[in-house]
Amino acid sequence: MFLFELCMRQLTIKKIQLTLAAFLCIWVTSFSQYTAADYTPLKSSGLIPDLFLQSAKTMSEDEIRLLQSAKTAGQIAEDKKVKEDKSNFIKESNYYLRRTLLSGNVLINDPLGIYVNKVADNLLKNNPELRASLHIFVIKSTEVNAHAYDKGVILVNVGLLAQLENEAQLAYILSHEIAHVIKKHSVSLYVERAKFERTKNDNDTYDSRIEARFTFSKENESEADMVGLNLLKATGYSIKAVDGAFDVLQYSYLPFELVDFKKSFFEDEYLTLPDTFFLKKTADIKSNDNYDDSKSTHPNIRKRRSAIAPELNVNDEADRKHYIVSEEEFKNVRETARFELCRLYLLERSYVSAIYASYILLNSYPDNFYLKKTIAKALYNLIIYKSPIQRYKDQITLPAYRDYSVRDYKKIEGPSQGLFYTLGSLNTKELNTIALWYTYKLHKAYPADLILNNLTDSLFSEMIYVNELYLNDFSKLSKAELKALDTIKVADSDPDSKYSTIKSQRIKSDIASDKSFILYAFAGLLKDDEFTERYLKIAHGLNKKREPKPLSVAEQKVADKEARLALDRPRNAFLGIDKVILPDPFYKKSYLDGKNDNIDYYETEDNKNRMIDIQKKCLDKLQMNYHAFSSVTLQANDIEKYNTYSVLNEWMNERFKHGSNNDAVVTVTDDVKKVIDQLGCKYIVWNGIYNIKGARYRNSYYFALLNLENGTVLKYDTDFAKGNDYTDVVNELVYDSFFHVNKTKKQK
Amino acid sequence: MKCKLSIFILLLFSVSFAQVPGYLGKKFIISTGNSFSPSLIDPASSKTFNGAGFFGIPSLNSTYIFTIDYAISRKFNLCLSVNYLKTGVEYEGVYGNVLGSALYTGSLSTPIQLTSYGASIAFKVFSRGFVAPVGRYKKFDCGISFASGKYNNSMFISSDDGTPVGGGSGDYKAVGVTFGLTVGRQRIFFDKLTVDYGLRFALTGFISKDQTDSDATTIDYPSMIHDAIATDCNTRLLHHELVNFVINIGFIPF
Repeated sequence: MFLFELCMRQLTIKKIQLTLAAFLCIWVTSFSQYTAADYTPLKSSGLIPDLFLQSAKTMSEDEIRLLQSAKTAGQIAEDKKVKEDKSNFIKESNYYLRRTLLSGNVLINDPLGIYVNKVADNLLKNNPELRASLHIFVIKSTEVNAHAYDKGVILVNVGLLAQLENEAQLAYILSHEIAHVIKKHSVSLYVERAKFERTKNDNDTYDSRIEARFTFSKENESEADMVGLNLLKATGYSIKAVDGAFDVLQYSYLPFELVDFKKSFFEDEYLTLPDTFFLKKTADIKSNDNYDDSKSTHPNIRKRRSAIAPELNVNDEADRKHYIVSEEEFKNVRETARFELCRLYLLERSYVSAIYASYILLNSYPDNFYLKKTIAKALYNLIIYKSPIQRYKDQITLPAYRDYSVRDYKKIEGPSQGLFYTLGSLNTKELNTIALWYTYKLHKAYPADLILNNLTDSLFSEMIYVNELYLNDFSKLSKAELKALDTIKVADSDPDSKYSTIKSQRIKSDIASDKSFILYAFAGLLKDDEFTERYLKIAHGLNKKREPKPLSVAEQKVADKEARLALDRPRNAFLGIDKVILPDPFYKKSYLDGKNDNIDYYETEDNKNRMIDIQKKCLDKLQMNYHAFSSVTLQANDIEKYNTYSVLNEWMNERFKHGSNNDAVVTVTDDVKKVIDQLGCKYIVWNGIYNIKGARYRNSYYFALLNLENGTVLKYDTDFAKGNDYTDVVNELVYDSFFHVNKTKKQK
Repeated sequence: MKCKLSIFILLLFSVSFAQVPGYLGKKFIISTGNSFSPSLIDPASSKTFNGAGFFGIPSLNSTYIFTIDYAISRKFNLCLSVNYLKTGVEYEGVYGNVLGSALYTGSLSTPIQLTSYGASIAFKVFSRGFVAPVGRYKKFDCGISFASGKYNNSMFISSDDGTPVGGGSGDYKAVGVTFGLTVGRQRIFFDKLTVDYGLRFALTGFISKDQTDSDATTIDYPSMIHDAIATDCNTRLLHHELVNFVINIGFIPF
């Protein structure tokens, strides 16, 4: 019996060990967002911190109460104006903090954030009280930066993590941000600015005002450098690494690695790009660290280095380390950040940067599907933006966010300049050919990927519809094959006819010319039946359905005018949609004071909450189904909801950036597809109100309904009224929008 | 005429059953209210004479209105209303033509009592940025009114010899047409209560059926007095309609 019990115990222990091993295995696997074959975008996990769940108003009211009580207790002898400025700062700071936290860009308990927090733990292990007051998160931004709020919230950008060389550099940057928190720099800067605005006189020039304002900010930065360094000295991190951290900042405008873009990347046996599309030598990196910083919030890098240099010599440098948490984990985090960066570049429409970053990573992960797909998406959108014509006259468009074009290669330094030059020099036909060649081959390698399949179809239609390149415009034989032929025979022609001779001569001249490289680009692909069939099928379909030619400039103007006039059309259209996804609406309540638009933060938040209620009321009245992603009802265990909201938010941000360019693909479609399947709904609504007292139209309402599957704008209304945003007015506007979304034409 | 009427009814039905959002799905408003006009140069129905005339005594004339509103499209409301007006018309004191005149010897402190019943049809056009039936609007109305008044016809004497003369029938009756424009705002509180207010500008023309248009070459006191009073009543109604502050309170049942 005892033996049996012992055996059972041992078995149980083994079971636990096995379970633990399996758990560890899963944990390690789940930590690694990237593999040789693919990448999973970063997601939040665990519980949502309280900080995300409190309203800005509640936070501000508590803090202002504390500020006021400090006054009554006579602890702080400050004049009334300063108190008022501090109260205003609290309101503003909490408002923007909450907006940032709920933007969906801030990651919670993600692998990157977990690691950054471990570094912070090391940094402040002698100061647990301070550590407990800090909330450090990673934010999805390409910018090489970190940011601190006086409340103790520190946001570290993915762009920064992708560039760092070692853990000690991260530790120093964190120390710098912690110093800002300790010294309460944000509030002092705000108070100083407000004081300056009050005391300025009319003789001050704009430049002198800006310089004076930034002088104080630079002083704060220098102080943070020094306080941060002292924090770092108290740890075991290398002090010499601080100099490297300044390198990271100085060269932050460069990609995370400097790699020459090889011409062969977009070439094969048949497609050969002319050398004229490639720079013989790329520009040297000439970063100037002594730039004019008079209108900058930070001192220039040279000044910062010089100020800190004498402090960098410590006796125990030899005992100090570049890694305390883990070198492996740091490298894992950095690599993840680099993978994530490719995606973020796409979201912010930095397509060449996305291609370049993916190209760098492909050198280490040549079979990574995610990276290849990123390049395919970037190429497609580059084509769309290179030929911004109105493809469909009757489409509803969003207002253009901003123009997009490939950055001027002359402004780029380093090896990446070559890619900017190449992609900037190719015309739409050439780029379309290369993109189709690349994407189709990728589709053949990953035939199950539907998004890639659709992208291929879109590229075929671009070839035909925009670039007017049909199948018979391409040679079935490669240049080499044609050269190998003794005599070039023209099919279906009498060899002795003069026309046959002319055609033969033309083919010979094409072979000799580099410029005609696109003619032979598909010589290999044309041997693939699927390629020719799809090309022909789409050509046939397009000729039937679409206008054969793009519009001329004059026609374009007329079409634009019609499109503007048609803006009212969707208002009267009935769409018959009974289920929508409903993220938080936008609300801004402000008043104009001269040129300044002063936001009433409390009113803004209250009215936003009121609008959330109104939306729900209207949808209930219409008996419509909806998935609301409301920040008001967010609970600590709603992490999945938070992740979904994050995906939707990314999608919308990108879609709105494309603005009127309806054909640009929204690159986060992969993740959104999962959301559509999960929610069983593909329509998303985004509406909001700008209520600006003193503006020409006090109340501006907008409502957009989009199809998440393809980015189509189904409804876009704007209403401008010279009236206030009374509840009944907002009720009416919101109900009207949903009414048209819900009802069908003949429905009573 | 039949054809026009059929088209109108068809049009009315088509707009009535069109897809209209209304206010949270409710399109029908029942309201009642008043339109006020300041009686600066005219008496109100109950205003008393202070010995120096009615002028300068601040008071308001009011028209009682009952209205039904129906949102027929995103920007339009169709309104049907009935109204009732009660006001006063001051006796002139002297009624005459080139051949002679009559004097009113009755009490001036009690003005001629004038009432009017009317019905009107109107369209409210809601301004940019608003959806019917909430927000700023311009209302165009057209109405028909039936006015009547009673005056004291036994208190007139000839100014020449002081003998009593007849003062007409003592009854004033007229039919009028009114065209108005209201610039206003409609609000809805608690999703039920409606408040509609605005400023109304209108022109009206009344025709008195028994006005004889008396001949100035003969002295016919009854006709002359009656005509003069009818003209005064018509003018009074015109003045009353010119500028009004309108307020209606109601509810939105469905």
